[in-house]
Amino acid sequence: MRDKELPLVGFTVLSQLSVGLCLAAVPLALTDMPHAGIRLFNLFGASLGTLALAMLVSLAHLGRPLGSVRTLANLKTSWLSREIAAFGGFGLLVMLNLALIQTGGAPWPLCILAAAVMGMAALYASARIYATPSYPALDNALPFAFFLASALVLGPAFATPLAGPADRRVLIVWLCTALTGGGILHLAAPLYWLRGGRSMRLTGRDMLRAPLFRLRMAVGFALPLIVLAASGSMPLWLAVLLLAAEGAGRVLFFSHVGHTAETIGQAE
Amino acid sequence: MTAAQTNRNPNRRQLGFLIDTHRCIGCGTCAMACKNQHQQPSTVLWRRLYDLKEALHPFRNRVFFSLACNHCEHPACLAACPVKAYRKRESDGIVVHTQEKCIGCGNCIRACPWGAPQYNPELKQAEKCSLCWQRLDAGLEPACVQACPVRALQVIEIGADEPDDSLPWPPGFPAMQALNPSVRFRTAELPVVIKDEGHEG
Repeated sequence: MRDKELPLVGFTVLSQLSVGLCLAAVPLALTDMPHAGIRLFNLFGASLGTLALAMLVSLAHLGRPLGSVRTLANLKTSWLSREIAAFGGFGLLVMLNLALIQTGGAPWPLCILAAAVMGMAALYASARIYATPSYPALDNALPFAFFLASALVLGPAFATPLAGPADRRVLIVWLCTALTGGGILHLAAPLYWLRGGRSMRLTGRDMLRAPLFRLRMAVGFALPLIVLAASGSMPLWLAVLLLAAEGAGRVLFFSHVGHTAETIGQAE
Repeated sequence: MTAAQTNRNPNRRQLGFLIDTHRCIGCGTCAMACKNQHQQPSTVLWRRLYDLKEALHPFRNRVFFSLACNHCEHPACLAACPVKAYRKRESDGIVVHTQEKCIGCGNCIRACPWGAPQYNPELKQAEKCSLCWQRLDAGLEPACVQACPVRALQVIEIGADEPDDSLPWPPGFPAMQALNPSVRFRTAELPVVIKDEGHEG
């Protein structure tokens, strides 16, 4: 992984946390609990703040950050242009939700759903940047699956401290399900790669052998499930640990996936 | 190899490289000439040599691919760039990178299956082989072609000048039909084995 890709680790994880917080607002919007507006305001506020931080961090990966104002120039073919547009639209919808709650007091479910859908669209556009033929292991639905899994883990993890007591139970069940599904996904992916062409096999092998991968599986999936099952609660330190684990997973994503140029001159 | 077989638009003139791996001796003069012409930093190589491993050719360090940009018919770099820093020349299909527009996002570097665009840490931008279009427009050969001592590297018009025995994607060269790279290869023949009767057994 090149140094200039470190900011992309930060951007992808933080933007997925932002979308996850918005997704976590959806079940809250479907309830008729008192003070739902306040909780939603907190969630959307955290989502917007995280998104803003993500965008700021992403500038660090550009050689010429001031040129970022031109990045919507190629919406016709560039998934990077589309990602920026989608996250921009997502940010606007989150701001709209905040404004509606602030002025009206009650959330608008349709507006919340629109923000959630735009967030998913942004995740999809983000994933398509990496789903290129130059990375055979990622030229499929796996990048979107990884990014969605991150959002579904980080969202409830950080939403729980902001939610009311009754919401916390729903969010913890959601988190346990997401951790189980995410763990299976991240274990199955390298095994799937081992059955592919040369570049995919090398990716699968390198991933399974990486100490960071094993640490990530233990600390990012197994340990949190044990803590949640044993305590039934979501401590803040666990949310921070999950964020670090997702960061580690993203480092693996950028550093251990083989490029086709590495196979030039070699048999398939 | 006909245009139809490579799914190329026959009405569009496309220049590309012909790499004769039978002639190539892996001296690296092409890469050095490119360096000399364009003065890239030490970490940036627009043209690189790849030797074929034994699974593809039984004798190591005997067959080489000299690769730069393939000036694809459907360039992945052009599609991926968010600021439209790439354009494909109408007259000859050369894919040109405009340095002034580039913001150094690295998306083209990620997208190209052959690693043609590279990051210049001094300029903080991507850059790649330009097929020496300035030299071509002046009636000269690209620096790498001119420098090759065995004429293993040539610029041809794809679809018009291709030798009948050339291949678009020989073994060891990642095949990306959708991008349709404008490069052709003459494959190396196996060397003749001469047995020495006196040393048998």
